[in-house]
Amino acid sequence: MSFANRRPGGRILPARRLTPQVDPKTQFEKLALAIGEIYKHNASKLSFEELYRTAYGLVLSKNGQMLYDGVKGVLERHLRECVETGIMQYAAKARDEPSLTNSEQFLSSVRLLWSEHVTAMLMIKDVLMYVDKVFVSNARLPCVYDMGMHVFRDQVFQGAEFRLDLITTTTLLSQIARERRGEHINKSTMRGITNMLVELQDKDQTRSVYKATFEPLLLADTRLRIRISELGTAEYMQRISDYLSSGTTALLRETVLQELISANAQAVLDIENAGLVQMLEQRSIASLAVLYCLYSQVPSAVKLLQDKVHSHIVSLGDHINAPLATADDAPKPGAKGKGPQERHGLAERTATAIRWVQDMLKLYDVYEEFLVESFTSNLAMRNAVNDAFIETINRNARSPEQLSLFIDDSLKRGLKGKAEQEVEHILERSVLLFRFLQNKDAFEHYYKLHLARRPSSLVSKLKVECGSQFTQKLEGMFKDIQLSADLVQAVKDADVLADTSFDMGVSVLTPTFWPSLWSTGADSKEELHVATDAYSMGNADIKVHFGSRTHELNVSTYQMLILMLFADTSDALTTEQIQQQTGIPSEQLSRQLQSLACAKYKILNKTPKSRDISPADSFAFNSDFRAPQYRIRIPLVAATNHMESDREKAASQAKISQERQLLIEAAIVRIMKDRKQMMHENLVNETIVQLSPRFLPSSKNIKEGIGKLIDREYLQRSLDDPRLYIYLA
Amino acid sequence: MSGTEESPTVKLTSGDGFSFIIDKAVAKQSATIMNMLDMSTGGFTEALTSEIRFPEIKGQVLEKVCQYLFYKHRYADEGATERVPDFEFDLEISLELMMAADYLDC
Repeated sequence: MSFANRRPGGRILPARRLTPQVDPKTQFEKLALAIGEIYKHNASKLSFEELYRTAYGLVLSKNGQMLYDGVKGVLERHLRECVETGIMQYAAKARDEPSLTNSEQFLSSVRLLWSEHVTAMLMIKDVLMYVDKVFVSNARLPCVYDMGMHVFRDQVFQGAEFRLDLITTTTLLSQIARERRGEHINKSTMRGITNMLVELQDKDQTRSVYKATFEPLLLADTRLRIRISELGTAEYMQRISDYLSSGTTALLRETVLQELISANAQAVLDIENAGLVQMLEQRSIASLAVLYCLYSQVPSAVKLLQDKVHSHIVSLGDHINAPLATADDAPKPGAKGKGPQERHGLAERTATAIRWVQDMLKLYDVYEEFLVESFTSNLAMRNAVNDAFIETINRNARSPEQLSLFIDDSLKRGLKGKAEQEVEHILERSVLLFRFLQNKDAFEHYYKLHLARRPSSLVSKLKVECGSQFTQKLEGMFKDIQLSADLVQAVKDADVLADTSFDMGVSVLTPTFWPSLWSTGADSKEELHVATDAYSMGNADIKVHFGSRTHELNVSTYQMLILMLFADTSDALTTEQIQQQTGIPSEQLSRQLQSLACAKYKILNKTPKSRDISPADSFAFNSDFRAPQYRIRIPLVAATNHMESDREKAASQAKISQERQLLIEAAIVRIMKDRKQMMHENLVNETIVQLSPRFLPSSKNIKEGIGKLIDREYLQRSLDDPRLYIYLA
Repeated sequence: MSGTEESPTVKLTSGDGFSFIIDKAVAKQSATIMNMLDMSTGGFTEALTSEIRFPEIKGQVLEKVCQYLFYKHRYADEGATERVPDFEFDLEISLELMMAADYLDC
């Protein structure tokens, strides 16, 4: 009651007792008797007010402790008496002869005592509410109701002379076993008993007796029964959940899974002739689906499955990688006829590379099917498969080059009659593998190197995959092609060549975008902005008289130069002489001579008549040349894109690492510009993060980059902490 | 009053014989009275007869208690939206009233 306002004046009257004072002992006796009556269901004959006032009086007269302990004593005595008279006989029977009837009688007697105790405690607690309110909260004791529960636990349930807890749990387990065998048991009794176990607090006060004693026993029992194969129906799980605490069902399920799946997971995967490897190899989609369905319920098992799939893919991948390794390691076929054999070896390597990509794609298809059909497109499984492909593809150091070769090859074939959709499809699949490459910049290098015709669709696909920076150079190549066409048109429109006998065409090739065509240039950087004539790229139409016949030949600039030599002389010339007189670089020359002497149209006669060009071979003009058409195009023997020889490979590597170093430095500067100050590790990590879409920089290279930037005074080490870098604007 | 049918009111009787019949909902503003009238576990005499005797409380005090129970019932759920009037009582009975409040837990 709150006192908001007092009327002034008057005197506070002393509180005076209206009823006579009674001694505490007699007062308590009254309460003890009442508790007995409550247990006997005679509460309706008791006055709440009188009992409440008695407890109130005892607490006010500082007899709270006496009252509390007294009540506890009354409860203890009462419960022990109940056990002795109402339960022990059934307990003994249930223990000695655990038949269905004895078990049920015992359990229901325990349940009855429990439910009566709970009801009585609810009433006692109400009558003693003043004890809870004033005495208990000061004395830091369990409230009256909890005290009653503890008395039940300590005296009845876990009491040393009864040990009803042991009999109760074994009886519960035997009842569960009965039900499993199909007998009918009283579920509501079971439910009542488990509820009691849940409600009783264990002595450590942190969990219920159910959790502390019964549940572990039940789980152990279940485990044992699975081991001896006595258990195995989902129906049992369903039924048992009717009377167990709800959390237990999940634990039971876990136990069953643990016993049935985890314990056998490895063994099943490894079954000889029927294990995972066989399922994968025989593509048993259905078996894999069942396997996955089971394993996916247990994290440890699904991890096993993933590992196994992973290692299987990697081993298959190694199988695909193997021929390449041997091709690389094979001793160079002798020094004697190096030319033809090496060429042959290279062609074969190229074929191997294409086969490698095709095999990889085939393998990927198989696993894609497993993922969708058997593994429910699960993300974790997909990651495991992808990781395996990343690992296996990057184990092959030449994968970027091979992928690029494959695309090149597909496109060349594609132009010969494959539908655009098919080409599109191949490109899509190539991008699939491209995604797994760690050294994407290496791929870019080879891609620029290998291909003359780039369908822009691939570029745009790569752009989606890697970002625009990556495809910048490739797009540059297309721009040049466009620019060339425009220039030719402009020249034609200007009509400057109208009065000459020449016709003219122009190709624009920006060196940075077309590195392979400029490799002969001494230092491409110096020529960067110089428009250079590229003889190897040009072509010309010339009229040639073969005895009485005249043909118009469409030849390259170099071929024109060679043919011009024979216009002045009818003698044969050796390869060396030709080179001296024309100044054509020797690696270009043999290609040009092959086109003239060894291809379909033999304008020159070569001695000896072999395909290969050696310095001593001689060439003479073939005046007997015959051809049905007037106008003939002399195709240049294609400089086949082949697997690089070791020398070329080293050059490629050097070029790639040089480019990487620049990228690393640029990344460091970008980061430091933003952060101003940074610790060494953070800077290294951040650099790796920034560059990882393109390639994985080594921390050694990053350190080098930092060193160079310090030399060039972009960065400075902090004087206080040598691990801290400061950006110098 | 017979206990067979649950009565909507309760009769509170003081030690000096004054009786007050009030709504149970109002009376249950006191936690003690609420427990006395609790029927869920079977019920004590008071719950069955809807009659409670308070031998230790004078009529003068019990009357004020009843007024207070109504007052609490009326304003307990009011927020600050409405001005709650002061509850007034005589200074003479303040000590006894305080003891009754403690006893009745209200």
